[in-house]
Amino acid sequence: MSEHPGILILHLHAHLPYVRHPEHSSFMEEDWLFEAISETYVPLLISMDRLMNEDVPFKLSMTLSPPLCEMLDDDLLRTRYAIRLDKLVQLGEKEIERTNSDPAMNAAAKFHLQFFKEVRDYWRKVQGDLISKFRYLQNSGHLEIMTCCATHGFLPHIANDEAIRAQLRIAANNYRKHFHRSPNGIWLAECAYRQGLDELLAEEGYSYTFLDAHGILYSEPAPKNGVWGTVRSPSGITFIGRDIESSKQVWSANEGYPGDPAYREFYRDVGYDREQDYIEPFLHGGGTRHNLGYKYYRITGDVQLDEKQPYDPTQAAMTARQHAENFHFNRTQQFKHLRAHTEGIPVVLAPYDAELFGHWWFEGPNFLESFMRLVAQYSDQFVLGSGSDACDKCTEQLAKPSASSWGAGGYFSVWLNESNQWMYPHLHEGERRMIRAASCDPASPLHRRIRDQMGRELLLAQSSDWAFIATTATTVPYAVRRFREHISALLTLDEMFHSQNPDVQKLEELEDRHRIFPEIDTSAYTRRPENG
Amino acid sequence: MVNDYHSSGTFMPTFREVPPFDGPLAQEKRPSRPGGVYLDWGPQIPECYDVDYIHALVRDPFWVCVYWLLGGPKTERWLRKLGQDTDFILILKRDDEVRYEYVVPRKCPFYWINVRPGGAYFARIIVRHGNKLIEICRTPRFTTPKPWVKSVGGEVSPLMSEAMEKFGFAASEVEVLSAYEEGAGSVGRSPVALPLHDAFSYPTPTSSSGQNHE
Repeated sequence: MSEHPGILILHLHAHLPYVRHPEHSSFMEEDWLFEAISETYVPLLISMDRLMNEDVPFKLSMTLSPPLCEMLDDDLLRTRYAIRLDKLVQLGEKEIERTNSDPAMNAAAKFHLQFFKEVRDYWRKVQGDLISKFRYLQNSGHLEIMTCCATHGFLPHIANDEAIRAQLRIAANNYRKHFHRSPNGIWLAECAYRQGLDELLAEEGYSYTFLDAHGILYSEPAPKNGVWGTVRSPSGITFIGRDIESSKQVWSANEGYPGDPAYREFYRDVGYDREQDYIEPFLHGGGTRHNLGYKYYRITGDVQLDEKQPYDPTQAAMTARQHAENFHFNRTQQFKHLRAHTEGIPVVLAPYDAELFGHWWFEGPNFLESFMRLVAQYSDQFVLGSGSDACDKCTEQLAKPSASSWGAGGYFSVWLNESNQWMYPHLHEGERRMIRAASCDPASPLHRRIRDQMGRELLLAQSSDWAFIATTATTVPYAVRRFREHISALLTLDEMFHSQNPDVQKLEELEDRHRIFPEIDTSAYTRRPENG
Repeated sequence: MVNDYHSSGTFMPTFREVPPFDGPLAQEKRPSRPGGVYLDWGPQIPECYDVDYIHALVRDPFWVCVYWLLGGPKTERWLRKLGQDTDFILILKRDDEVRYEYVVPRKCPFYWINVRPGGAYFARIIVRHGNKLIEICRTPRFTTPKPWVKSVGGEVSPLMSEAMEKFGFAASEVEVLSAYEEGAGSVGRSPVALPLHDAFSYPTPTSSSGQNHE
């Protein structure tokens, strides 16, 4: 038995597709970012600030995907977010007036107004620069930030190694731009892995990544410690597997904590509950209803939306603390068991989508903060750590991990089925054209810009979000449109790249609209000479 | 969804007489009735490209999706030589020499094929010229995932056994392969449900000591 009590990696994967529409004065899908800032990123930062100020030791692990970093660092989106926040505060003031004669609703309205005011205060305090805050937390040792594939590209279905390399290399360059150091770990989009990817990860300088449980359990040979130890592939990449037990306690819609009747109901929102005229000033152009973030009901139980009971923030906060205690107790028992059976220091990886905490599960940040306080209080039971800590301290077993993802079914069917199979021939053609362009010397600096923009369009088309949306049938027209725009732009640019008189205006229009990765280096697409 | 977006009029390659990918079919650019919802599916993109190309996408241990584009010079040359009604043959070959052949249309680009877990394959499209097989295109070698455990020396550690049992994963190679044999090599536009799908249904949350600490 080891003296070290064991490492719990609490990992939050923060990613959103790149949604930025300068061609419109206001755009509904940009709310994906704005809601995540208000409900997840700022509350998490406030929690971490509070813990730091109170000298509570803690360490979180996070992915901040390159598209998310680019959006958080974008002046246009930051300006728009500040305007959105002002509007939500205005809505809150209107709501307090409207609910004046209903004490329960009025209390909930006041709570939400206070929430948005706190978010706005924080946003103003940091001058809208959340990236600097995350960087500061990483530099102070409280957070380890992993990168992710450049645009969350689904690597097992990318046809050419050059295009995979580009996803990995461009991500690392972007990370260096935002966090002033090289990334140690990379989150593979959707935890999707196929054999052989480890060699490309090693070539691009990464040290570790995470897989779903069966990626480790079906390794060859089977690792002695199961998912509670690290696995090192022959190319030198360390793999850590998801612990299903801790995942399910939080993830499960039916049995997980977020489904408790006391918590805030996501689907009852003022944006749908109030009269159209009343909410019109707060909606995006066109009058389509959408969430506005004022939600006055609790989950209540398995009842219809109109039977939900009023939300009680005090009761919900108390429940979050109880759940944190339960989660801590279960992890304590788990580590006690693991210490007796693992060779070396046990590791438990508990990864979640960051947006679960706050956006979907409103009380999630409270839960996390309470949990981190408990871990600090009982540090002899287990400690919080990162993938790098596990690489340094845990015994590694040499093995080849198995193909896997964390999607439904455990493999790739979410991103490959009859709703999205049509995307792949276009993506693979895009890869071929990009690789061909990368193998030519650009005829002029203008042609180099064209090729760089080709790279951006291909990367944006490769985002796994479009195939995912097609499968889940949520905002399908938007996903299809975005996919087609990027493929169409790529084909146009390819023509321009091989033309003597490219259309400069067209290039500038695309550069302005899809301006992710201004630092892009497309050399990764260059085809290497065949070995032997 | 916003309703003031217009596509940018980008260059579109010439359409070819080849089948559409299974993309969105309803390209409603204008509301069908006053007040109807305006859906913008984005600019048209080509239905095929001028290449001879085949690709296999692995979905899981049991299914691959194979697509092909037969719009390139090699296809054109052999069609001119052998006639437009020449059969194209898709061959899927496993490392252990098991091989499946399907006569396939030029214009039906997605085939779902039931494959063996833990197998190594390649696929190619050929035409026959007398006794000769003329290859139009082929995939690189690809492997399907292997959902069973193999350990050094044949023994699985107690902790691994615990994980496999607790999390409901399949451990037996025999069990997995017998499930596969039922549908080996069959082809469908839409794959049937995965055998052993339940392997990934998670148990109720418990601690490692086996008790639920609610």
